[in-house]
Amino acid sequence: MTTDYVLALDIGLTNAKAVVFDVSGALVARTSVSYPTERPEANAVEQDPAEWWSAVAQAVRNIAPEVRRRLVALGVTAHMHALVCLRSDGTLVGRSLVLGDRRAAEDARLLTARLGEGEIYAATGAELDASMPAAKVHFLKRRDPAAWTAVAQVLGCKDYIRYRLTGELATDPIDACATSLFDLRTGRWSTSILEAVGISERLLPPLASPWAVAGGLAEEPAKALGLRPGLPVAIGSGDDVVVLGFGLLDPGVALEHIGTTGSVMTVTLRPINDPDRILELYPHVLADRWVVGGSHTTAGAALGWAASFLGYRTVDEALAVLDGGDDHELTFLPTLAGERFPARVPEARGAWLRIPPDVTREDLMRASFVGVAGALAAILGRLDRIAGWQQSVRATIADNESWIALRARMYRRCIEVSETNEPTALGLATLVAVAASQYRDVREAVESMTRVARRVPVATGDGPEGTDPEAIFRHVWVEATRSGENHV
Amino acid sequence: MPWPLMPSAVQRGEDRESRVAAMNEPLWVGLDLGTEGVRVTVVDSQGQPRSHAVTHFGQRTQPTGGMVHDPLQDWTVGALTTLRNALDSIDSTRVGGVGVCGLFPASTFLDAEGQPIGEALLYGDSRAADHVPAVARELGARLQGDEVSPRLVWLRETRPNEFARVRRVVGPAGFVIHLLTGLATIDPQSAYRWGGLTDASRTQWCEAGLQAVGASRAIMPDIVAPGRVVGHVTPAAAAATGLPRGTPVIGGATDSLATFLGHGAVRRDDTIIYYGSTWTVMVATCDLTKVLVEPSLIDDYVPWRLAAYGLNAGRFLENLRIAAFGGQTSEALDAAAAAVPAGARGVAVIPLPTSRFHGGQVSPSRGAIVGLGLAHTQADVWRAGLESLGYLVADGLDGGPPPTGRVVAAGGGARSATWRGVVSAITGLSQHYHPRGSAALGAALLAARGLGAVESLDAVAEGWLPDAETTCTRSEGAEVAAYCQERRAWRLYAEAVSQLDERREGLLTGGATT
Repeated sequence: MTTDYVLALDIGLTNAKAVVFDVSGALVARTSVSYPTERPEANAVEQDPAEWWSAVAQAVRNIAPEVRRRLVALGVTAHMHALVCLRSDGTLVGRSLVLGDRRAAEDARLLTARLGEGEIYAATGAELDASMPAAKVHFLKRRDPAAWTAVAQVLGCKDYIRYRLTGELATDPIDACATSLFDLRTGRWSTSILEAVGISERLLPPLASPWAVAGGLAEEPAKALGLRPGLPVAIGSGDDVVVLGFGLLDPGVALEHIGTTGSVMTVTLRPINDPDRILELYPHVLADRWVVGGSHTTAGAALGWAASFLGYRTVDEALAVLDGGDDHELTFLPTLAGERFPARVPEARGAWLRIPPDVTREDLMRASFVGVAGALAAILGRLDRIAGWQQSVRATIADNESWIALRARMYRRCIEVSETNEPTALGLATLVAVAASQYRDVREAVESMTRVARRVPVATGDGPEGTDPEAIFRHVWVEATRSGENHV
Repeated sequence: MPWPLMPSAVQRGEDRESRVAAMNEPLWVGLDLGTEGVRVTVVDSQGQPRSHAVTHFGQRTQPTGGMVHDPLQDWTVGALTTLRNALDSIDSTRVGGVGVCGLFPASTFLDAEGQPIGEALLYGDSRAADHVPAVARELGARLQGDEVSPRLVWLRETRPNEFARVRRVVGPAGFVIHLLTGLATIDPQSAYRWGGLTDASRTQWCEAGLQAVGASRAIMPDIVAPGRVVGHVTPAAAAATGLPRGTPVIGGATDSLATFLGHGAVRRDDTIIYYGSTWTVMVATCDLTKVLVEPSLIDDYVPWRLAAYGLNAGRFLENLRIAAFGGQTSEALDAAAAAVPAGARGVAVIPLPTSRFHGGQVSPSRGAIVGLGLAHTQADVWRAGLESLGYLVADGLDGGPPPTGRVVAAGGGARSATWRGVVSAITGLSQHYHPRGSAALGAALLAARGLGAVESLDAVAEGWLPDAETTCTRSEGAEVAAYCQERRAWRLYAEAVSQLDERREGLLTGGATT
């Protein structure tokens, strides 16, 4: 059994990765091919799905033939909230509006007013903003009603790629949830939201389990990818499948994910409603549980910006500052591009606060790391209150020791370092392994394929004890945003 | 091709006698002991520059709230060395007098041998803050928190051994005069700003006040009005500096008064915008020539209104440049900032917003950079830093009638045309600037006036610095209006940051949320 391989196609916002694992979860091969992002007008962020497809095909062909020959199944995961429109013949209607596209802000406000904030949050697990496909559909219809008549199908990114692999239209509950068109309470497309947006359910793909087989790899794409036709293709899921890659099946352990954005999530046994509608809710792959979490728009992005601003070549180079001592008063607010936590404030901006007169660039950089860790700690604190105490936090292995130790200190709990540095692809691989009948179910696959490499304990006594990061962030945001309104 | 001939004295219409007279014409030395160093300028009686020297040392801040100079290394070595450097290139026998000014309020303590005890305490030193309310009550005086009187109590209470050795208390200008003459003196404005220790005439110490802080008349310097000869250079000082023995030393002034004089701003409503390590806006509240005659005519602490005050704000920006922005030159940053649109693309710099004197206490000093986005660069932040002075000036001047006199840009930062342009655009004020204008020049003017070489303190505006640059707003009202919104946002940010500072204690203990 251990000689069989599974292929996880992981489509991010800048590149497509083809990652091969053996069925014990060990990484076998990884390739990636990037694609461009277009910004044709203000607030527009578009990508061409044909470029995704070319990148996927190239990434797979770049895997050694002997590895490809041992594949027993494949699947796709991708960034969520992208909108792909197809004609009835399956051809593309324009480019995809991806995560950062803000042109539907007015549409989001309009739909929210029409449906009510509370109802949208209760139905979809998140507030409706410009990034959501529901708002984007409304925007496209409103902007060019004639062009919209050609649209026969709307899909997310991973569902488009899987459609190209198999010819089958489908989606899973997690990606469906990321459209703001899906009712978590019923597990079906929401008729009231569809009505408000003004589209028929026929435009949306049918729902299926993420570990189900969507179909066999069709002849033509098999040729393009250099794979065997008929290979089972799993339904897969949106990139929140990272939860499985970190081995999160049960409550009590959170995960943090620091990419451009930063997220902290955990598993709950009931659909939790955050009274402030700040945390977002997704269905877990396992039917009787849920994923609840919050995100910062700029986590890794804020570190990258701070490092560049202060003259470091890379964030890695800047990590050396963590060996110095903290100035517990100097604070960095990493909200450099609007924020989602602790409140949706599109106009929120970042800051260095309490700067001493003899500050150095090392101090400012160190404060930036502390600020990002503090921002994530604030989400974790809210999860503690709303979803129950989280014993530990899982993180990826590709990380600097001092940086992990700092986060453990800010989180005030142990960090469990996962063995993988490809948690999203590994999470998908567990589903693909189930689709390929390598495991009985998702729990068995996750327990067999994911592992914690080591635990980083909390260093006590050297942090601002008793700090409530959310209280500080909330206060600063409220004040800074109130002032920032004058700049926007 | 022959070398062009230098015009001869005859061609210039001069004769030998006038050249001899010029050779014999006295030179006037002005010394300014400031926060960042010592500056000495030497001019003739027409204000023409003859020599110049500067020594930088800078202040030191301490985690406990100290803001100090080293009186031996900074003040003694700094003053003597700078004088010697300035006199090296001229015929020092022509020096007719030395004028001295210095920062205030500040002080150091001398022992029986005239040697300094410990550090020199500068205006931003907050270690005596706990004593301010009690001392104010005891003296029946209005104290801002930075005066010398609570520092005397602080020294007595916390360092009794040092206090027991104190035989003299002097300010920075008084310290230099003591170095040169062996005599301890102070000008009336500085004495008054020592805090409730002078009598109603402001020319005498008040015995009861001194007793209240545990001091005696014997340790206090003599109060002497600026422009009076207070002593003469001793042989030891002559040897150390190159000044002729017996050169008259003219009674000192605060660096603020000398700044007014040294920029030709001596009339009521003349205004100084000071681009220094601490930003100040001072509007003269009377004819400054009067302070030389009758100090008690002044109806407040000093003969000017402090319209705005940014303690250490300039130093904060300068430190950002050197320690955080990779040491780029201010010229390079200014050039980059000039290309950034008004409002710094939403960035605001709040330089040390809490470093104000309020409630008799000096708050700790911390600044903020806010409004940051992913596209911002150091140029945006530098621009925001320059703009913050403009906002401070505009807000400060809002509290009174608009300045109707001459507005002068002074201090090291004023040499930046970009910065002056930004401040003019925000405030709508035209500013006069001359690179030779300085507090040291004001001190030299006091010396020349004190010894009768010039008739009027208007000499600087009228003849010494005749060719000042004037910085105006390019589009006058339109540009000022464009900044209105940004200025309002800056004020809101500053208030928000201050509130955060005040509430931070509660937030850190997990108590308060909004």
